[in-house]
Amino acid sequence: MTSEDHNSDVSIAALRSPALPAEQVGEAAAVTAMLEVLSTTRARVVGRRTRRGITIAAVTVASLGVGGLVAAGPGFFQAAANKVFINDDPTTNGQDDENEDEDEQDEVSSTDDSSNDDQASDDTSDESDDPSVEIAPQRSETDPANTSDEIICAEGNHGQTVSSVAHATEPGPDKGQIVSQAAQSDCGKTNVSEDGGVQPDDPGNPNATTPADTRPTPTPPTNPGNGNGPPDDPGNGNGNPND
Amino acid sequence: MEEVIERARSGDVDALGHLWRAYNHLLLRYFRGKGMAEPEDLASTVWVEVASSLSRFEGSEYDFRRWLFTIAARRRIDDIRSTKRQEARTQRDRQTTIMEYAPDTQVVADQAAAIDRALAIIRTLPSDQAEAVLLRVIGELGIAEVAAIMGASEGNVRVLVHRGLKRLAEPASQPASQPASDPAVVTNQPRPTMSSP
Repeated sequence: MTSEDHNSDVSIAALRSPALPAEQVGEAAAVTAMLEVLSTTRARVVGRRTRRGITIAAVTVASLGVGGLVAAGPGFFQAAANKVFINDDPTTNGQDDENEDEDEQDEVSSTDDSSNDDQASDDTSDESDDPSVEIAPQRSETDPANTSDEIICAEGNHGQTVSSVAHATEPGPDKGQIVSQAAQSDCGKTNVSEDGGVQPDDPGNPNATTPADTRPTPTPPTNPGNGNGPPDDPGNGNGNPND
Repeated sequence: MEEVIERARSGDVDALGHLWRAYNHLLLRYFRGKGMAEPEDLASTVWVEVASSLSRFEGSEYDFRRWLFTIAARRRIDDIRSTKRQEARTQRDRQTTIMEYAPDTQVVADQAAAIDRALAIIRTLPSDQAEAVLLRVIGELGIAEVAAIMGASEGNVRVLVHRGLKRLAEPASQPASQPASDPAVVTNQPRPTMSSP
């Protein structure tokens, strides 16, 4: 080993030697400072993650909420519109609301019963732009021709049938005739075999439905193109009682 | 040491102290070898930065050392940029620095003297040679790591280290010439305040 190498090694060894006492001064202060920085950094990271988590959760909830509204929107608003539409039916008054809220849509829908205006809900008869109003005249035109052939017994007793016809028929010169025909029919009457239907009003009949369940469905005048009543009408499709 | 680093990451006081004791004197010698006026302050800033980023550090003891001296080099450059402030403090704090390094035993004194001699020689080297030698010798880093810290090629670093060590190997009797740009010469011997060049 040359002297130069020796000198080099000595220098290197000196530089790599363990710490001198003077070089160890300030350890406690340094460690305290490092601990403080460590805890601050961790708190910041946790806060950032928490804020990020809260933000993500809020955005998710909002998206789901908005998405749900968007998805349900058409149906929701359609349902609301239908409900309003149904309520607009002038034939529905306080007594018949629960009987006509579903099946009126495609049949009666828009008869403007001025006689019931004061009793009907406030959402129908005044609606001049109600599309159902426009349909009514058409139906009224066809009604007289079809009434006599297309009266179909609705559920319920005879009185309910007549009542439903009365409500379903729009005011006009023919209304009286229509209602009269319904009254003269045997719909809802017991011990009548011509209509071919079971009399739902028979208290001794185990199949009889309670008045609350009966839903007098509108008769054919409401739909000129359709001789059938609603599908759930047990007396549907059995022809005319006048045959 | 990896276990110590891991415990230090979780805020273990003993582990943090262990790290500090293991590397702080190396940081001080590095800064002194580069002629920095306040090696203790610089070392403190290095440890603060280490603590702030320790949670994200992952690696071996060697990786930690490389990371530590990378931070030290950055801090040194930042400190050099505020040269005026550094020169003013050098004149004011030189006496304190000398007294701080006064040895209390003969063995320690001899060791301190040897350190000072080596650092004095290194301070006479050109800046890049001194940097390469200090990172190689004190940091015990490889050529590639030194090149990465210095932003130089590995070949260039090899040349710089070779030349620097060659200077270190010069006979001790040969007086080390003090570079004109070296503002701070710290020794264990109290001496009159030197006027800045």
